[in-house]
Amino acid sequence: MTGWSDWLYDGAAAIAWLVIGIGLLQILLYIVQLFYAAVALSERPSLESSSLLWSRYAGLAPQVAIIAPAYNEELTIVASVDSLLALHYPDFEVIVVNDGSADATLRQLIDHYGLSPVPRLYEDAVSHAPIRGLYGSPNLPRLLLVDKANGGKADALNAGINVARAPLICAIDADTLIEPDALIRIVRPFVEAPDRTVAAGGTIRIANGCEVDAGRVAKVRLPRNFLALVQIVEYLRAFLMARLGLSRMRALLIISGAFGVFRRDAVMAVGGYSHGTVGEDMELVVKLHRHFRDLKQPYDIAFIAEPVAWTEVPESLRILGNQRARWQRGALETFARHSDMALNPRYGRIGLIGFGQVLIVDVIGPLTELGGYLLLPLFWALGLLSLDYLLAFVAIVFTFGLFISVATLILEEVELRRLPRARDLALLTLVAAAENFGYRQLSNFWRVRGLWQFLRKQQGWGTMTRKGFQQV
Amino acid sequence: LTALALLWLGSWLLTGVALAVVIGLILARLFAERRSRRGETLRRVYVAQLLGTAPIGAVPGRPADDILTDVSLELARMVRGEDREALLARAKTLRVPERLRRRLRRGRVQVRLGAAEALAHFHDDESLAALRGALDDGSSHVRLTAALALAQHDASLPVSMLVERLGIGTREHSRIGIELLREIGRHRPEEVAALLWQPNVPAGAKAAAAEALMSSAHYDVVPLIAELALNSSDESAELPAYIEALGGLGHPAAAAAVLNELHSSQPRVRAAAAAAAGRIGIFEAAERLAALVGDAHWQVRFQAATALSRLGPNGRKLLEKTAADGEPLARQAAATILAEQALER
Repeated sequence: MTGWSDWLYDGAAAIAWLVIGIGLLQILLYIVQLFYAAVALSERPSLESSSLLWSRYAGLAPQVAIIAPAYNEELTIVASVDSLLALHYPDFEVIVVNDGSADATLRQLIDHYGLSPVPRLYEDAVSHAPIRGLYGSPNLPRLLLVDKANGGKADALNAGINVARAPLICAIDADTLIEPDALIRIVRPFVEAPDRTVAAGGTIRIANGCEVDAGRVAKVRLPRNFLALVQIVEYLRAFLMARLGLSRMRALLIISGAFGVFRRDAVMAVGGYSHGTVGEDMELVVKLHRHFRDLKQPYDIAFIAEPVAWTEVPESLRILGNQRARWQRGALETFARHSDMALNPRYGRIGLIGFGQVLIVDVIGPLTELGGYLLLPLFWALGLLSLDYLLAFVAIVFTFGLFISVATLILEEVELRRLPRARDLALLTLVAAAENFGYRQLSNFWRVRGLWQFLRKQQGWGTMTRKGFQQV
Repeated sequence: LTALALLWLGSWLLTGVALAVVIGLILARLFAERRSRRGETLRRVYVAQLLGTAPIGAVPGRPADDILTDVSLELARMVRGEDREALLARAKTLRVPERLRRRLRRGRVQVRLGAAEALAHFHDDESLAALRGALDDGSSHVRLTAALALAQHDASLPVSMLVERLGIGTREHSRIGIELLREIGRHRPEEVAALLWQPNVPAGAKAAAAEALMSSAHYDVVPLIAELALNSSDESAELPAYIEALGGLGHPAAAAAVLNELHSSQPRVRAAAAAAAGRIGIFEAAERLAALVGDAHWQVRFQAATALSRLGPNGRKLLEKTAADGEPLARQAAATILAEQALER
């Protein structure tokens, strides 16, 4: 009997130490990311004035093809395309890809812009469902509509890549609102280091609560919905800390599918976006890393904080849960497809830092944290764990989370300053504290659900019901 | 201290720091908002003084150098001709160049960069000397921008010296380097052209010089660039830039080099040569271009078909013939380009 209780006690201690160890590793990762994010900002500080930016880069900016895949977007597509056509950039083309919409998306576009079928010689380098037709208008030389059979977002982007002729492609979601000067800001690394830069991502901000006028965020306001508020804090951490820091460490594994610019020839060299994954954005970036590392060619995949695109986020638990499970599934699919790169010294910092961070934060992290929530109180109830230590450990994990969120607010104030009022900072701090009680646990649960879906090889995107931007 | 006490102390410390930071951020924001309200008033006063609608002199409260400098530059970018000269003269009276020189010496990278750019508006000796000093700045962005500002006043160092100092084509691959050579080429094209034949100039700098001269009417360089192209290996990273430069210059003296590169083993070079053949109007290239319309690489097919359509009636005839009885790939490329061109007309 004594042997049994010893075994139980040792087992509980081992699990407790594992949870603590993973927690400490995550904390260490966040501190390193924060440090590198601050270094990145000091090395490449933001350029405030758009006119200065224009005078500096307009003459040198390469042509960009913006690819906007659209599926059943009949209500918003015209406003989205209007806002894309009004971007401030010297030389660009908007390629809207109607991905076999079941609604009137195609008709809306044809009728509103007076489009008619046009011939165009295009490449067949990356695979996608058949293109049914191309539409254009001599009055709008910057707009090209591609109508194709349904194949999903990655498939639609591939069609756009084939049809594009510009050296750079900008992949966006059709409902993303890009700030007018975001393109000229995001091409900065392509101008400053054209020989090395293969991709660049910008910041995604949350438009819930903001006033939108003619496809632009006219007035920034915080949403009233708690879930949307928490996501603002999450996005600030993800973009201004994690991506900026990882980019500076040259270990960035993801550029958001909502707004990213890529060298077209590099994307083609890796076969474009991959089918059969819901994490096609991460998959593409990892493929680029693999390609250039295998060829031993110097390259950069950059994240720049200043170019901003706005998106609507879910305000209901069901939709948010689906989205987070899907993101988790996407990350795991990419991790599994490229598992030979993980911790492989041949892939340098991508294998060690990039994949190491996915392993700790995305693969092991949610499991251990959720396991900890379930097992540690159980061990305490069985008298195997000291309550004092349990509480002290939970307190330090939570307060560290708060500290990281507040540190990201500093980066926000220094770099972007998109929060209009001083009291918004206080509100977001309160939200960052409150997220530890309930939301954090729920978020881990969703991620574990994503892991379960991944193990069951579940496919599909689920539904994303949009509330729509608040129009002026 | 026990481990337990340390954990709690750590938690309290983190909470305290987080709170202090938020309070600090809020106070800084409130202070900035107050400053910005005062700044608006000062901006209006400075705008009036700089535009000459109010006499230069006192301002309400303490003068703000930053606002004055920023307003001067914003206005300088907006106005042209005599108005601009008058504006800059008033800015000088308000000692804006002096402030910019101080910024160029002391500010953060972004501030120094802005100052270097802004000093391009002023051409007094002290400002030019400050810009020359900035060629040794720790930031490559500031060095390039200072060089560009000097070039805008034709006060640049000798080009070969500048190429070496800034590492153009070796350490520095920014497209601003090409812009710099283009700017220098506006005043001293021979000097930029000389880069092409000097043996000690790195190949990357030669390619940058070729691209910089592409939009000039300096046709003397065509034989030089053509020779560089002919002497480059197929795999050379610079070869496409040479061919593109020849196409941009559009001079028939480039014909031999372009015709040669239409047979390159590298698709990128073949595509560049096809585009150049169309721009220059090399009729001898027509047969080869017709063959390239069926090339395995899309970019080559596209450029070859487009080039043929530019080669007058003979080129169009060949394209129509390819569309009618070429190989499937060539037929499709030729027919689509013909249809595209018909729509454009």
